[in-house]
Amino acid sequence: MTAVIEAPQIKRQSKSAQMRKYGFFPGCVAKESCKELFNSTMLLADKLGIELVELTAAACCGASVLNDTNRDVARVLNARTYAQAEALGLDDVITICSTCTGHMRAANKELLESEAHMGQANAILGKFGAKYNGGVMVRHLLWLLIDDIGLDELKKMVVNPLNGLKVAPFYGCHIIRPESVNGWESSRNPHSLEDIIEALGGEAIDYAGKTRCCGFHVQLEKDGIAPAMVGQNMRMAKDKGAEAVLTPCPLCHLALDGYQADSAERWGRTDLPTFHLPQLVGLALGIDPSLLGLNKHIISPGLVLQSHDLAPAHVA
Amino acid sequence: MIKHDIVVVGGGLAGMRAAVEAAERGADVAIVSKMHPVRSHSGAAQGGINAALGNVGEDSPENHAFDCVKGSDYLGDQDAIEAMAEDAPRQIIWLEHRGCIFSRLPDGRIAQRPFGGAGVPRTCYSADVTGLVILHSLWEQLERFQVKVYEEFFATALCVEDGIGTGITAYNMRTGELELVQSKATIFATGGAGRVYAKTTNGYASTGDGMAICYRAGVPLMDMEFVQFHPTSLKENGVLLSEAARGEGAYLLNKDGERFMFKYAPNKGELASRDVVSRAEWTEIMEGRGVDGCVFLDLRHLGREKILERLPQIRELALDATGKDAIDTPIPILPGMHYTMGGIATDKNGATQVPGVYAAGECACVSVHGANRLGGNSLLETIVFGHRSATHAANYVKSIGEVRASERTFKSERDRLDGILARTGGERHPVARKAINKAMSDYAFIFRNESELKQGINELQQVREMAQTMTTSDKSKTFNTDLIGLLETEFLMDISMPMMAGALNRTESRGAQSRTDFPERDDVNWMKHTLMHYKGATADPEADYSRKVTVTKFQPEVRTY
Amino acid sequence: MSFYLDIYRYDQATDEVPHRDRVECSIPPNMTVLDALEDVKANVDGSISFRRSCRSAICGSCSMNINGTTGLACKTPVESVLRSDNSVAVDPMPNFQPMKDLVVHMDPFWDKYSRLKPYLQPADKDSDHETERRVSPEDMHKLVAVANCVMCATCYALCPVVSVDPAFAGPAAIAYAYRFIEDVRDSKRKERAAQISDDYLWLCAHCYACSYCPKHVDPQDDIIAVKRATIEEGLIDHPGPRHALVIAKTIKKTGMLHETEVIQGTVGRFNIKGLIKVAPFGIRLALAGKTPPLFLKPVPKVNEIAMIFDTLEAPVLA
Repeated sequence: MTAVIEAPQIKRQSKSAQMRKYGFFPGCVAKESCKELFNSTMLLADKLGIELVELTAAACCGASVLNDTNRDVARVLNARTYAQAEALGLDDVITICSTCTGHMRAANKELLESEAHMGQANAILGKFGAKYNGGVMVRHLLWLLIDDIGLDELKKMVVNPLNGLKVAPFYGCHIIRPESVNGWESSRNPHSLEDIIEALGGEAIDYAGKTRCCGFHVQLEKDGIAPAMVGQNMRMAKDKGAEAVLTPCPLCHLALDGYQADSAERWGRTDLPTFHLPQLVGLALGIDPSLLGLNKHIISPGLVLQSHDLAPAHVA
Repeated sequence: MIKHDIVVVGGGLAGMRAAVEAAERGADVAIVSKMHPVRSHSGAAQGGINAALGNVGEDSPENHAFDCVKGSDYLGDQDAIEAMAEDAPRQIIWLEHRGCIFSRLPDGRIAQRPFGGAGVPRTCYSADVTGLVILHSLWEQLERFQVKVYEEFFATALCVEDGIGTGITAYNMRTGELELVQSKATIFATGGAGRVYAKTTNGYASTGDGMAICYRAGVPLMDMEFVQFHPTSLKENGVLLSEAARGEGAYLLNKDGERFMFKYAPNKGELASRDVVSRAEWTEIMEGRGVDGCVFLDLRHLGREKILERLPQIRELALDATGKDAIDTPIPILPGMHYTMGGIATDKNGATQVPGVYAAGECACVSVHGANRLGGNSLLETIVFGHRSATHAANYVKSIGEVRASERTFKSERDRLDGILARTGGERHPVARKAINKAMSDYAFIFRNESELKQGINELQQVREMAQTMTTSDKSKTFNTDLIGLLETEFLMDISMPMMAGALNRTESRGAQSRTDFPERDDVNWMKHTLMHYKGATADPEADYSRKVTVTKFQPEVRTY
Repeated sequence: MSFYLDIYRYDQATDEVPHRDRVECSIPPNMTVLDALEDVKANVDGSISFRRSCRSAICGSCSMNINGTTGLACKTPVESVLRSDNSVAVDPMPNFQPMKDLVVHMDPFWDKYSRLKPYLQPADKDSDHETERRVSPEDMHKLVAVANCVMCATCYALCPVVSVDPAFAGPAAIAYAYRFIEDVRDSKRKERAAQISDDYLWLCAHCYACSYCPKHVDPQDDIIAVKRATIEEGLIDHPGPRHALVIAKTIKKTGMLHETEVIQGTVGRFNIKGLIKVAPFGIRLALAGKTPPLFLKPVPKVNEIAMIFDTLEAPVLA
């Protein structure tokens, strides 16, 4: 047990970044209930001039709960994913989900820090001729935007500025905590989403709930739990003047989008539409709004988009 | 009115051990504590607890007893020391059986480490959080036996009716109401009094409550002049870095990088007894071989793995206070007030001279530590005497009938507290506290002499005047920590005088008492304990030397390490 | 150097609502927030009330909300929390009812521990062992992290689940359940797993807010270990474990988490009442065009995934 938390080295420039060709792990929800996230990601990649090579044979990252069943299986499944990336010559795997980010990074850390863990994984991967050599880095698209593209470059690419749209960031626990696994920015007071919102011409709303949990993983455990957790956060955002929410996690998106209707009873109406990261960035960069899946929201963003001259209401 | 057969005042190791023992014997017992038991300062003990288990090398209770007697500089009562050394293995096993998380040897037995003044490694430990794990084990047992705890009740006075103890008065900190707590037996386990000094390893709550309460009620205090200065405390905040560091092999270095301890203790070096080490350090510092008033504790050669495994807490404490990582660099330290060998005079069953009144742990003076305590024996004394006092008390309460509730004490205490809250015009109590601290730190530190001690007494007398009218700002009935602070300052005022006066009277150097004007130990005149009797809030204590030291096996010898 | 403490003031006996006091303090900024509070209490306003004792992060008394986040005041250097307006905000811990200024009612927190029967319950009698029960260093080492818990309640104060549902056991109590579940001397593993499951173990949302533990106990790891233990003990007949196991099942079968099957498997395929409860959410998803597919094509080389599960004997929902 170390007394001092040592954040992992993650700001090295990957080969993938240099080639502008990255491994891509979309995660399960982006291919099922939130296809708009997958689609808008691919469009944004195109706009940014980067290639995202989908790891189609990869398994689910473990979705946070696989560790509840067995302490090794999620680690080995992710080792298989990294081996696939390495086999394609890619050293940087991009995710579009906070949950995937946190759990894949945790698995990678365990593999890199323990010969026993790496040995166990490779012994099993070896059965089907695969091997992980420890050369992969896992990052979220959010970090790629800031580290590889850069806020200044992003600003220059904005053709459809957000016109002061008041956007509340909602990080999603697993992209910031624990710091020993993520550590890319402060977990108590991150500001990457705020920086992006400002770069796109919006106004970032600061509120205490931005780093708190949405309750997605326990929504079925007890009646009312997820609406309550969503409500307490959205109330804070609304009270600070938010008009919309931006999140890098589709699970948070589902919770925030889907449960505000239920949280109204205890927390009052909030009705904040929740954008996926590539949707809002893509919108500002001039991607045709009708292609961004803005009509795939439970709380429609139509009105806020129209009122800020960002898109006609009917696309949402 | 609250009524139990046995009331334990204080919820630390000694208090909880006593309460659990009494509960297991079927007694009606309750704890009264000014904080939740797990907040007790016992939890800050780091290094370990001694017992002649013989898990690492041949050992015996007799060896342990000898080390204690020698460590005490022959002032310890040898019958009590023998009893403690005899009880120790059984009590450690008892703790382990109840689930205590001790560090282990490869074969699964309890591990033991070397410690100061010990001939054989006999200090059982849990990394460097031994006090904490024992605290948890005992709290778990409180839960098991559903022992009632009056949490955040501040004891204010001992009730004595017809010459026997009949309970206490206690102030409910949450409601501001004074309660009369009637009991047939009262066991004080209120810990030490470090806050009498400006810099101490002790937490804010170590204000000698039980000592002062018993003292005021007619129970004498014993050997109060013997104050232990722990060799390795941090300059920034006085926090303790355990002797376990030296037990694991750490060095003490002066500014020249010299392991100076071998000049003063040719055999044991860093693991001489604490008074020897503190004196050595202070001498080095005073003679110009320190840096910024400190010498250095060097752990580097132990290696990262060993430090993280055995000493993680002290590494973090040093890092937080100084910014220095003990893995890479030596840590500046200096002697700091740590432990009161003196306390409420008891026999080896924890009984005071007032029937029904007991004391156990640091607040008691049995005496098993005499003029200096060995490391690892304080945790031990809490468990041994918590057990012994409860055993004795549980039998005692069966043998007596109803006791008289002390309505008069209750009334006088309530009037006293109301009077304090109503006071205006006097100094705020922190002023008095600071003055007590200054007098003790300036005049009763490691090296003492007659003229300075006399000055100290003078200053304390002046503070005593001021303290009669000191005030609190907070008049609330809810959690009035200002009032508590004042009451604690009053306790410290009462016990500081016996500490200073005892040091002045004792014209010899023995153990932790170092008189530059009387540098030798004087076995002819001073093989006796110092008893101090309370003579009133504004009077000096009366010294009494009638209690001689009990010598059984070990005749006093020259004491070198 | 001078700065301000911006302190929450309240007395449950006399105040309808709290107010704030702004108090000037001039201690060196490398000293702690606790030092600052002690300083202003001694020199400015003696009525400021807070719990504290050891000032070395071992007694757990001084947990409080400092600039919006909970931690130990004695372990927080002032300079690390000084705001741009040269002040530090100090409030009582959230998730607790305030009593007086920074002092809160801690009883619900202690009660969570009591419910665990938090004491060793061995299978044999103590008197069967003349000396210590033998425990290997490796087995004892598992308990070291949670042995360092000082019960300061920082994790409980930060837990977003506790803040909406005080019936949740909370990270500290669950970590203490782990302490006994993993103690080889204890004989009540199944009973303890059952008890903590009933105290809503599975409401833990894995958010890792408790990773801010000032003593590096990392209760989040212990909570996950306790969940594994409950599954090992066969206590799987309710949503939490079913959720984890059905996700495992769909991953093994298709390589992906199949949302549709996961919802059914968690609620219980024949649990009509439960399915009716989730129906409104399902309808909202459908209206937004977000219904997950009914069938999922397995990813390529899905047999490798099944092999991983089988080799590790990782369980799935039956």
